[in-house]
Amino acid sequence: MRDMLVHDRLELPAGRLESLEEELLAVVSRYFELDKETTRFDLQQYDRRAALIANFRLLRSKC
Amino acid sequence: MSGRVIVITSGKGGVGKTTASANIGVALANTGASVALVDMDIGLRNLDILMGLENRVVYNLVDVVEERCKLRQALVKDKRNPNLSLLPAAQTRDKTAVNAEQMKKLCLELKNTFDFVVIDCPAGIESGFQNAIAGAEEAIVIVTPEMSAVRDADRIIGLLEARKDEIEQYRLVINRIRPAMVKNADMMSVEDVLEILSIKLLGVVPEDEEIIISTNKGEPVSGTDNTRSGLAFRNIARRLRGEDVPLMDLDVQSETWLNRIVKFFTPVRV
Repeated sequence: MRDMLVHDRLELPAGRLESLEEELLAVVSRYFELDKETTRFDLQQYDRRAALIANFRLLRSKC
Repeated sequence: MSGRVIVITSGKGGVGKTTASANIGVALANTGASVALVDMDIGLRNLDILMGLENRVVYNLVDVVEERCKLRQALVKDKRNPNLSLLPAAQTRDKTAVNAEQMKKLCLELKNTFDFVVIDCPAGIESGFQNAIAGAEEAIVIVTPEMSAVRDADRIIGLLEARKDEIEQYRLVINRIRPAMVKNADMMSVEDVLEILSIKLLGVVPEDEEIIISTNKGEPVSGTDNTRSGLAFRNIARRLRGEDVPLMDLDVQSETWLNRIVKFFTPVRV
């Protein structure tokens, strides 16, 4: 339910967040080899504000 | 001396705004404050019924705003408490009959006469809601512990947040909670709701059949001593006046062994 409300408050249509996450993954991947299995995106609620937390496990940098 | 203008809102219909308005109004008046109850559900008025004053309505809020009568002519004094007056809604108009400017002017006039102006807001987020909150400085958000009500309350809170300069404080009343269902995990708990909505709690009111009876009689429960919901509303009124009143113990009474034996031997009627 919390998740639904965070989506409501941010006016996120279905699929939009997934698009963002894919793009973020693509951008970070240009700079680093990533452990894709452990990449995490979390939409968390702090009071009534949302925070998008992205966690990338970095293996090595790409030059 | 200026009164406090409080709007009672929810978003979702049927969660208890009008019931809360009537009961909080009565409870506040019984503490000695002067209270004006304002029915802003233009076209679908109900506050007069809950107060048992439907036969006393001569003029209404739209008459006042359109200057067909003076404010004091439209205010209906409560039968039981002279501190309490009702400004009824019109039944034959709709929510476009009043605008925000008119509402602000009306609230100004009311707060110069009364300690508390309690505004019953209609359901929704359109002009009815916008006009009802126009003159308010405080809001009470009514929610029941279920997903659709919580979702709508969340939207309303978002709209109230956007008006932080006018509406200085908004707090939550969780209405119609059923402790037994919460215990069984069949209903959201107070903590569940607070965690999601993240605003200050003003009070919790248990589900109570007495509310239905009181509505039909036109006698709000907070005016008499013998109901749990009445006590909850009286506590809310005390907190509004600044008193620190702990939440009622809503725990389910545990069954005593004697109750269980009696139940076992009582024939079930079918």
